Amino acid sequence: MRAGAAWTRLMVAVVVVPMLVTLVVATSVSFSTGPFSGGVTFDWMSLGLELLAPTLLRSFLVGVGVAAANLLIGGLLAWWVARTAAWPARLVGYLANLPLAVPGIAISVALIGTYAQLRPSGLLLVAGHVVFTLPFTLAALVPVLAADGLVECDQVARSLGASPLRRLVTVTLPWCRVAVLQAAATAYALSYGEFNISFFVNAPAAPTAPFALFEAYATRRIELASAMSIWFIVSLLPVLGALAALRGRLAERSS
Amino acid sequence: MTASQGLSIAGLTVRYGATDAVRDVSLHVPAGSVLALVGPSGCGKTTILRAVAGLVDVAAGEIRIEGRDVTRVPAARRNVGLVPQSYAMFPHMSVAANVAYGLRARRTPAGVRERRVAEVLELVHLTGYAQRRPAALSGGQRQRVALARALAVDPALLLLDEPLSALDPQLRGDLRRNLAANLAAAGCTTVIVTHDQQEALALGTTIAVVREGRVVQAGTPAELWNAPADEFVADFLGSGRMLPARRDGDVVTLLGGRWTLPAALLDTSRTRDGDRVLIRRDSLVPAGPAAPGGVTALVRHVEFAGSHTRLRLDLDGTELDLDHPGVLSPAPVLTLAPRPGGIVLL
Repeated sequence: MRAGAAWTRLMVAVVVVPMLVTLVVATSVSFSTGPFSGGVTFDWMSLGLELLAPTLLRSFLVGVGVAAANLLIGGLLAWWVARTAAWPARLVGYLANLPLAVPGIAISVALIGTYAQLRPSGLLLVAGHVVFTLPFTLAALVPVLAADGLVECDQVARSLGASPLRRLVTVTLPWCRVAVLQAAATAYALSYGEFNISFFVNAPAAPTAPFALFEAYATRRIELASAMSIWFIVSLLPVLGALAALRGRLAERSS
Repeated sequence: MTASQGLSIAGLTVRYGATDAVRDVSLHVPAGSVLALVGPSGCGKTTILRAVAGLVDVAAGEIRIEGRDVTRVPAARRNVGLVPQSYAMFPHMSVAANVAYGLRARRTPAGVRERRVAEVLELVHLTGYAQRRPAALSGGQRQRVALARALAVDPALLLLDEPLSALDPQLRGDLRRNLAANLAAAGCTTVIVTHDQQEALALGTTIAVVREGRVVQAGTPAELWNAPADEFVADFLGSGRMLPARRDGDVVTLLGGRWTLPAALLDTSRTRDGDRVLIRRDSLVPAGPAAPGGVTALVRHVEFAGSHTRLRLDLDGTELDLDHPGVLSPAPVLTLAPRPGGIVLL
């Protein structure tokens, strides 16, 4: 009970309080003279939404693409790593995790230097985000796909005459659905909030939301930048809420 | 049914890397009978089962099911029913959906499928459980669902890997009898892997004892019990201890001449001039010092087991187990004599 209260306080201190402070800044007429010293205004919020909206849509689309690519590429890779005892599978698994230890700037420069022709289309940004998020997808999927219980269920399904596709759809995916959802949510959230690769790889004419936030804090009033931060946080809620609800439904169905 | 039906394994070898997990195994299971593969952990019995199921690659040899060479046939096309040790229930499906899985995979029409599911659920006495999820079943019920799922596709061969080991010891006796009844009712050629000699003796019409990837002895339970091929088989099946023996006229000497027995006290029905004896747990009884064939043993360990007392004895450096009916007063030294016909000359 006491541990629960302590954790709650800690989360409030590091998540809720900074968000409330940001909201106070975003709704102050002029924060430099003190919170609400010139009164409360929603003008910054209105202007912030206007400026940020196109970038939110762009980040959403990139996030969805990255999540989809993670499930497709990461899913197949995770299956191969989980089910293959040979050394190439282990090596590929290690290689896929390497970007975790490499700074975003290094990944970005390497990608631009190697595949510059993909930069204008935005494909390089998606590829950079996939490289960055793939280790998290593997971390979510490999242990589940390697679980003895799933391997045995798959073998039973094989012995009963099921084709590989039927086994994937009727045994593997239902068994892994929470992990799949977790992987998709993590890939989406990481991509949506990713700054380093977006900053270096993405064409400046089509910024993502984190890039727009950085630019706002660097070049505009703090009230406006704070308002854009609030809208960025709000924009995360529908997708994360939907994923949480879906996860809850799945947990309910499997109980 | 002909002799070529059922399961035939010839010269089966399975390798894991550089290690031969199974070496040159040959077995035949006549149609409708039950083979129990028994042996200690890691002996290769499960690998034999997996090779028959098509789940591991065969390095050499041939596997025939109902006369058809399936050595290189994919698992999905062998028409076997597999019941793994964990039962491998599909947790997101109901009992009925689990049982119907193989029929759906084979595109069986819905009406036929539903009738077949009802039939096999009735066979394993789980008709009322069709809509339950596996998580809501006991271990014994899960075992029966796994059996029903395997039987639903009308397999040419049923493969059961340690079907009772995941259950509480108290339940095993009843469930072993239920399983035997279900297998008899299904009439399907069956291979059961077990490390439990009681299970093997109770369920198998044939038993194959496996050791270090090879079949040491195969035969009926009575053959293996009464005439184990070697010390390992005798010890593993719990039938007793085998000792070298020498017959000189009316006496048989054991332990290098330190124990002399009148031949008349031995069971010589199998051979009159054997060079080994099989001493079972009930072959010896406590006796007076002058009893014919008597021998003195050190009592190493005494264990009360309810209906009998189990003793670990040391006969001049050779250890033997003895089951004595009822309670036996503890003593450091015991004089024993053979029960007439209790020691078997082989």
